[in-house]
Amino acid sequence: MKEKIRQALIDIVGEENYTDEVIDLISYSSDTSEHRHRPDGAVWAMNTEQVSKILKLANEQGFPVTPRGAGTGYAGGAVPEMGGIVMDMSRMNKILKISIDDRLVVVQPGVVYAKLAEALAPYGFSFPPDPASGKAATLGGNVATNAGGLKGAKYGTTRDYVLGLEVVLPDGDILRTGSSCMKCVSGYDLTRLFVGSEGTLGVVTEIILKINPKPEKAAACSAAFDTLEDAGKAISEVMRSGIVPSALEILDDRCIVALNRDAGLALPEVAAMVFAEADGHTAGEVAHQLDRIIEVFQKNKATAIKRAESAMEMEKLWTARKSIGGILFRISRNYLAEDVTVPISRVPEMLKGIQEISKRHDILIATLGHLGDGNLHPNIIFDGRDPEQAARAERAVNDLFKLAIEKNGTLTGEHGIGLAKAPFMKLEHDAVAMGVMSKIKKLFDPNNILNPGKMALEV
Amino acid sequence: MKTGISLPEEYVDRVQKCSECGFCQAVCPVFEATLRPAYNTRGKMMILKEILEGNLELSEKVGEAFYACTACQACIDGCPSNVRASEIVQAARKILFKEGFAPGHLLGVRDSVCTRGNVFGSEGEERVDIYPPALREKAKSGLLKEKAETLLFMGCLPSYMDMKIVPAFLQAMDAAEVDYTTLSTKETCCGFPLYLMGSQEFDAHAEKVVDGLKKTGAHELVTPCAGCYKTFKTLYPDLENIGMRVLHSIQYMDELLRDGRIRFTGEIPKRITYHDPCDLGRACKILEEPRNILRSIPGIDYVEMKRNRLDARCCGGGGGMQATNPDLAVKMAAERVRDAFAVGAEILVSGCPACKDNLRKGMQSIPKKEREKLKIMDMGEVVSSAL
Repeated sequence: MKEKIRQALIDIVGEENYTDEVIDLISYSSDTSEHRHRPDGAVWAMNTEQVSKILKLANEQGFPVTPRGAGTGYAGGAVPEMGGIVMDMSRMNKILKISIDDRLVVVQPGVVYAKLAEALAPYGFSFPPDPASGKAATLGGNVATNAGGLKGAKYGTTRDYVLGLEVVLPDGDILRTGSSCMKCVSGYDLTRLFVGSEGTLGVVTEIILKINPKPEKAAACSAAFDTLEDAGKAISEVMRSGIVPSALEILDDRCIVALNRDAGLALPEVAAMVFAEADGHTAGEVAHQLDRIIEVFQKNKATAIKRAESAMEMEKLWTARKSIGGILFRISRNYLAEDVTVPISRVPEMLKGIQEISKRHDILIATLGHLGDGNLHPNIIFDGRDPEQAARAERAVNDLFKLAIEKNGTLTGEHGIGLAKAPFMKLEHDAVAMGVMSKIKKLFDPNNILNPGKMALEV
Repeated sequence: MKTGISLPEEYVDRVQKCSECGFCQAVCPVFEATLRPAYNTRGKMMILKEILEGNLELSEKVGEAFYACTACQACIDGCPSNVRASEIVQAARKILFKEGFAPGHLLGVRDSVCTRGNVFGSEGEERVDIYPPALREKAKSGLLKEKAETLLFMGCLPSYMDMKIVPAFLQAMDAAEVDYTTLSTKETCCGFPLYLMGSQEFDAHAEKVVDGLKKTGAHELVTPCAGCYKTFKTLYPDLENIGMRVLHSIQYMDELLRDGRIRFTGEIPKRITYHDPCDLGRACKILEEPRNILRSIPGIDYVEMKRNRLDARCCGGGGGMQATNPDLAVKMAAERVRDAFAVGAEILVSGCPACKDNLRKGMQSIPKKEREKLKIMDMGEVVSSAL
């Protein structure tokens, strides 16, 4: 970091909000991904004006700025691959407005998902996406990655709730997109352009989010299937039945074995276990949905069906699904959490394909997934100290992406492209699409200062 | 470049298993108060990885990161990969201390403990100044009693810094007619601060303390200090081997209450909440005993703070934080005090003198217009006032 730039940054944010100490540079060098690169410095942005001044400076001086929330992403989106500075947004963490009458909240990007949930709970409202990292992840990060979660099938992802944004552009201009209205078709939908743009186009400094009344009742069931085909048929039929489950999750046999072995559970060791949840405002409404789901499961040869209605039963039933992340983390040293997504009807063949890839490359892949939206999480588990294993894991990932695209799917349903999937962008997007994306990037960020190296935008 | 630090292999393995998911950010009180990832558990693990890989040398800055921890252990349960980072941080401190990268303030504490036998560098004689007058005279001549069933181990903070904990504790013990003695002017620090700072002198110090304990012939050691309790219970060689049961005063008073040796005759018509000290709650799972005691006191309207038991928010006073970064310690305490405000408590009770001291400072740091009427008390004080 040149002394002149260092001093200019300190002049903007103050001594206490600038650092180039090695312990900070290391802590900002990575997220949950395997990617790692130290920045040259980092700033804690405290307000929009500072963000604007910093970006203007970066644009003039030509140094990279990588915005960061909690750094819980899986794709390396927050890794400062080209050095420069990390702009930590976590100290802009105020909930600016809760308006139940207008069905919205206005928040700063550093608000942690769980803190908003806590603030909305007394009103009986929520911002539904519920990402698994919600305890730590920030809403700014949710917006930048268009985060999803367990409840995507019924409640959608972050994108479906962002009504408007305040975004600082690379030249320092402050852009307001969208509105505080439930409906708005005024001009281009710039809001959607920024949601999921991974900090490559601008830095979000304020978010207007639509909120939902939180259903008071929920019930769940689990079922075992001897074959993936049966599980697949059951899921397709549920989706045709007119019921939209609030969660529909699958664990494959590798996950089941790991849970029985490492979490002391006694799940039936079958090809797949499926968990379904229905929610609503009355017990009757919930029971009706769950009855239908269970009927469909039974018809498709499900065994060991368990139904949970009380809070305690629900917690017990969900233990398996909720513990799996941690259990898989513990199996070996390295863990690649992928999130390929396919059309719902193609989930069974995708699951089969993943097992073939696992066999072909002799590498453990444990798959779970959000069936209601076709979002699968094949977790490639290996010991990176063994270069041979690491190479096999890499080949498996390559095949996985190819397979997803063959099935008319996508590289990523909710984690984003970042660095991890940048090399595969062309697999999914043709030259025309890649060209348009690059042009958009150039329009907003001609000097390529914002989160450079991500999403394969540089041509 | 100095590489290949001597971290035990098992710990190296666990550091490598940290998936850097960042979930610890949701539970780390130091991160919550600073929003500085280098101070969070994940940051510490990332720093260690770089050291183990030979990309980073030990330095005072590295020391700064590793001593920015209250040893609250919240990151243990909050970790999907089961890294048990709190233990690794402690192991890293040992290395940093040895290499001379511990914060300077700690060296003064180390000298006080090793040369004076207490964390404040005070005279041993002054330990008994807080005893009631009659006991004080007796105590100055040596042990209170040659032989007794129970040894009361007061701890440095209650002995030197707190006006109320020791007298209240003694009052409760007298009321239950406990056959006790104390080490009086010969009591020395349990060594917990040495352990926390990573000093290798801890083991030798503990040996000396055990010799002193043995001489009393007591069959149980009871202490009102959560730090002393955790130290005797989990860091010393098993004291059961010398026939000594170790109890925190809260456990002991709970037993006395159940045995009918303590009876509450007074009322406390107040709304009371209990702060679980990390060294009793998360570390030793003493969770229900304090609640049993408080619920048994007539008139008390007992309320839980939102974060309680294993999920209790650390007050910021542990892990040496009060010595290395007192302002941060107080900032964290203020948050815990606000938790008590939020449930309308009039009394905030703890079983840890360090928590009590730090919570009081936290209370004072809150601007007057935001401050509610809240008394911060030790459990012994509450019990003795209801006898």
